[in-house]
Amino acid sequence: MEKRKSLAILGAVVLILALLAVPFITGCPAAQEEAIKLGCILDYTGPMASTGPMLQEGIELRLEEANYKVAGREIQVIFEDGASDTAISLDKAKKLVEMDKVDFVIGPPLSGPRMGMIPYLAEQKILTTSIHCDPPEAAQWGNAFVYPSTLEMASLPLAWYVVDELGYKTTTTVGADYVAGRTFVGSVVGELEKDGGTAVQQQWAPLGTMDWGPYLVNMQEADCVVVWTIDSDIVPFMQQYKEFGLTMPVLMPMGNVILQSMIEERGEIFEGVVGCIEYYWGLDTPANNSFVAAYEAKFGTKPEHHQAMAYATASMFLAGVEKTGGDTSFEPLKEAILGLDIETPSGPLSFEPNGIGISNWYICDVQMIDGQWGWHTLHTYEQAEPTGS
Amino acid sequence: MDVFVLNILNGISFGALLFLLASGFSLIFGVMGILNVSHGALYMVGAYIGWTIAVKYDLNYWLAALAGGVVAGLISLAMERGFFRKLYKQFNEQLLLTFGFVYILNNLASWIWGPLYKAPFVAPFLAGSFSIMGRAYPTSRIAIIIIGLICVAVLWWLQDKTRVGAIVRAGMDDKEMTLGLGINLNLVYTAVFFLGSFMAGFAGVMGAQLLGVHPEISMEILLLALAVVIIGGVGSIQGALLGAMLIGIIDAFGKALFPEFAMFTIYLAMIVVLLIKPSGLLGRAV
Repeated sequence: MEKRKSLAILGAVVLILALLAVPFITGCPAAQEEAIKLGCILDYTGPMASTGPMLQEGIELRLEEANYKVAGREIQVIFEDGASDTAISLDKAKKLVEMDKVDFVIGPPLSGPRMGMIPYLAEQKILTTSIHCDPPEAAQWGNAFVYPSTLEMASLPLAWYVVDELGYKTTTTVGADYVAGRTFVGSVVGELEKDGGTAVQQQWAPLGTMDWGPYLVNMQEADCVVVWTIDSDIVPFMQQYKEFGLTMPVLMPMGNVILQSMIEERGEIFEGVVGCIEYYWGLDTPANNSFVAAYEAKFGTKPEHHQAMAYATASMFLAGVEKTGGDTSFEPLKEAILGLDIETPSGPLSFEPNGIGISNWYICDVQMIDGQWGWHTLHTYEQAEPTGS
Repeated sequence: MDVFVLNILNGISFGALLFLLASGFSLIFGVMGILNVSHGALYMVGAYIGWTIAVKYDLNYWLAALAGGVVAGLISLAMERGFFRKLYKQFNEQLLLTFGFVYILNNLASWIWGPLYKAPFVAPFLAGSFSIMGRAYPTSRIAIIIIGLICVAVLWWLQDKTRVGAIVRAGMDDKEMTLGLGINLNLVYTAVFFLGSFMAGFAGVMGAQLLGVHPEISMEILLLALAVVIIGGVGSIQGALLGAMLIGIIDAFGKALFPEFAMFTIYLAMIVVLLIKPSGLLGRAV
């Protein structure tokens, strides 16, 4: 009886193993071979949790417009939660590559987890793109597209504007104490110092700083304040900045950290802030007008920059695969994307040979326009590159 | 000198906020032995309820604060009645359960109010600032200090001068003897749990004046509450007050003097206290 039971169990195990092995012996069904797999690592938890759903909206909108097809091949998109964490993002990247066999990876949005993941993807010969800039070092691995450009480029146009137009000579700074914060603020300070200016004080605050009082009380007088931190921290900062009666002009590299919806809700605390913007919904271009109309039709509200930039990354991917005729292998797709010159909601996009994006950057300030608070363009730096304005 | 004085005030105002939050946490842990890590999520729920009433419907701010506390209290009552009673002295299970509630409440908040950050909202009569040593200082922070002091006084009086407080302290010291005297400890536990969670929700509305609210704030604020309880000790108002003030002042001066190490100063203080007096400066062993 025992022997019969053991044989039955053994037989069941063998049968199950055989069934599991069938796909690997016979090869994957034709439909799976044809489908292109796009992996997206976004943040649905952690300090950037608010961005995940918005980025997903942008990517899905673009893929829906293409009917989830490109060059005759179906597209399967897989979203994973990077949790704004380097280790978790790397684990998800490994899962996407080794289990899901993706052809391309979009995200995650934070530069720290990006830098932790890019070397692994380079080893695996998987192309990837940022959504909100990367450090320039990302380009050295040969598999990363730095979109819309480097972290420095998210702040250099503001620095050029400060030097060329505003004439400020001294600044006090408050920045998030991690790679993006130090890069954004440091770029502005660097350009100011090249022009003979001085940073009289630099304060660095951890991500998740809730009480900005000590930094504000210690703030020294200067021609302007350069500040950058993530969206959940910038709002209490600006509120408390006003409450402490501080009146120095506020400059913000990567000013998109202030969401449009937040400006509309509490514009009075952002009034007069001058920011370097990658996108806002009011940009008057055919590509953006079309994007905003499509977004509004689907979601009933105006898009933030998260949706627009994610939409553009999907556009970049689709345009590249279209150009290769559906070939998603490493070198052909890389060359195709590097050779792109496309219109995105934030303006024209092309790439330097090393994969660093060339985009428009907008210097805007927060104003009340037609009874509503919003960004207002002061100056456009078209196709700006780090070598000059 | 003005910088020193203002940083002291910053520390005390932040400490007052932490006291409002941590006092409830400390009481619940001290009286019932429940490590309720969803306490931060109750803070978040209170803040969102307060936002809904004060900002979305533009109603009275004190109504918003009261509602924030009541809703948080009611949620905790449901948790206590439905779950914690079945897990008496099963600390690991309680911890896991409360973690689960954190995720549930966070996701519910995202679903109801959206994932985006809600800006800080101040009571209209607390908007603006007044001058201290020639520098502007927000009125809302002074209000938080005053409200914190009032709550300290009320809770201290409740704990030390009332029969209810005596019963609570007796229950903490010797549960079996207290039961033997015919006191309905279950009712006392329920009341303490409600009160502690009410404080969390109320603290959420007060804290939203400075910090706003977003779904992830629950864990961020919980860490600070834990630090307060570890430093001050469990189960006493005095301990929560001492811990909160120390944390507030260490945080303020840590940011002012050692900004690069601002992330560590609070936890460094916590480590020092754990090494010297593991039960906390004014704590009793749990």
